[in-house]
Amino acid sequence: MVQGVNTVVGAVPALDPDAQLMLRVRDGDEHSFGVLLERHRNPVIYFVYRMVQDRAIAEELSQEVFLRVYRSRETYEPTARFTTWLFRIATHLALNWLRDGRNERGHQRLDAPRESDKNGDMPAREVSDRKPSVEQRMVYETRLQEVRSAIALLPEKQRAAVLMHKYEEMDYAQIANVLECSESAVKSLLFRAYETLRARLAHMVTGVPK
Amino acid sequence: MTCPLQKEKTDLLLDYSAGRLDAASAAALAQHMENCPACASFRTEQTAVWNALDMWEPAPVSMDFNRRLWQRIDAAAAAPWYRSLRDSLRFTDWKPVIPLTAAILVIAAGFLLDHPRANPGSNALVTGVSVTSVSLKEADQVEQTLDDIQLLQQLDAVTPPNGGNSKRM
Amino acid sequence: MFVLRAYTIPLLAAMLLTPVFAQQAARPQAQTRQGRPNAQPKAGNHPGERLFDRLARMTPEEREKALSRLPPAQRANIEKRIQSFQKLPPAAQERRLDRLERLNSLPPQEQRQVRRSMNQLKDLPQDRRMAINRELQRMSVMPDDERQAYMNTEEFRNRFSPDERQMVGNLAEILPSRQN
Repeated sequence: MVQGVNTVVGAVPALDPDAQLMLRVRDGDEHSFGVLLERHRNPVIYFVYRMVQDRAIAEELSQEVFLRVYRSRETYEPTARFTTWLFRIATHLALNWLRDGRNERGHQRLDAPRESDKNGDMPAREVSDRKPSVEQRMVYETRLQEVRSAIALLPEKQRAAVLMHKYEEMDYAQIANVLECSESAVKSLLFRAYETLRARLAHMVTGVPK
Repeated sequence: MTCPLQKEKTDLLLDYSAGRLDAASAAALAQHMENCPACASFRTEQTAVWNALDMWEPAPVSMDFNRRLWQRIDAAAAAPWYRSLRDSLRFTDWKPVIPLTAAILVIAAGFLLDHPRANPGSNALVTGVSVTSVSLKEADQVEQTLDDIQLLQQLDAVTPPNGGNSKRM
Repeated sequence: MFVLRAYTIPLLAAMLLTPVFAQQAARPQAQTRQGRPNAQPKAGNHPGERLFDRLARMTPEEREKALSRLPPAQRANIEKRIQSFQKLPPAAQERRLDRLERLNSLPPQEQRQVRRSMNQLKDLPQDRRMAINRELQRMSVMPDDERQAYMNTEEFRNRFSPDERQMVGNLAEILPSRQN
């Protein structure tokens, strides 16, 4: 359970600019919180969205992430990189939501998009002189659904590790800090996750038009 | 170079496929892959996975995300302590909470119901917004904001299409 | 026995009430954002914006209290302008606030340029104002890199004077960003 209080997880780079901003927030500078929000809002939301695959829920949970960051400003200590702390909160909230929802949702059909996700993913760019054909659009939608299904079928910790590794470009050490496990555990998670993804997605040809 | 697959060093191959290896290691691995079908196949498949994952772009964030967040922050600042406590437990995985803790909450709730918090001249009035006095300096800031809003009236004719991303990212 | 009974009742109450508490810790349901009769002002990171947001969310009575320290004329002026804003259609309110947020997120130098351009726009003849608005509308559907490239084309340069081109460039900064 993460309440926003830092735990000691390792040495912090001396000049983590985000940690410095957070220290200013601790000292009462709300503008610095706004800067942190601007900088990290979208990555957090996208990460949570890819975890839970529901846009509205992702925004709700992401709001909770920043609320917790703000709420714990007075006791903030930069014992880890700011993004490590931030994504740890985000991961915990997402994992809790997924676990709590497992019983409620039951087995989910992933072959049909959910109502709430109709606008969850970027539609094809609608520029009048370059509109994708219906066929291209269908191919894109099918492949996108495959990608989403493949990610959704990963165990939650593997999913979190892959999303941080791929989309946030975090290294093994940072992912380990976020997931509060060892680097070798992270490598193992990623190995299994990518193995599964290769089995499900490697048939896709590169350069698929959007 | 020893085969990463045989040495169970697949993280090397992953890093290579992601373009995160240093130049020297990448060159050595590339040379190895010319003679190792297994590693070459791994690279091809992993690249396909990478490209597939690249397809998945989430939709833009709601325009009012920040506003709703700040509203929640302000509301939390104005909320009574027990509501703040409840909100801080929201989303928390607290199923393991034992019944004795729940009993304490029941007793506390009963106490609060019997002794409602006095609210004589509270600043959190009808709307729950903190009503602190605005200073002259703050009034200037508000007026500047109002001036900006008025100037922006000229751009009302420019209606954005759906799905515009925030410029901030 | 008394001690046993003393613990039994609260424990029994707790056990019976635990499902209630569990429900209160319910997962977030996707909040349906229905159309609101008045779009709520949004608070960005700028102090003036946040103050404006706070004031706009108050009732008139609360606002009167908040502004009580100000000279009467200033108080009345702020109240009138806030009410005037609140009378706008919700979509228009959202649009202006979104642009305001973008404006305030720019570096100070660029903010000054955008404000200067907005003031200049105000003083243009109506047909030039409309031409610039049309241009901004056109650019609002372009990805960011295309906007920049477009502003370097002969077509664009031929349609606007250097000052107008500068204006368009500055005002484009507060259009929503679009990516490829």
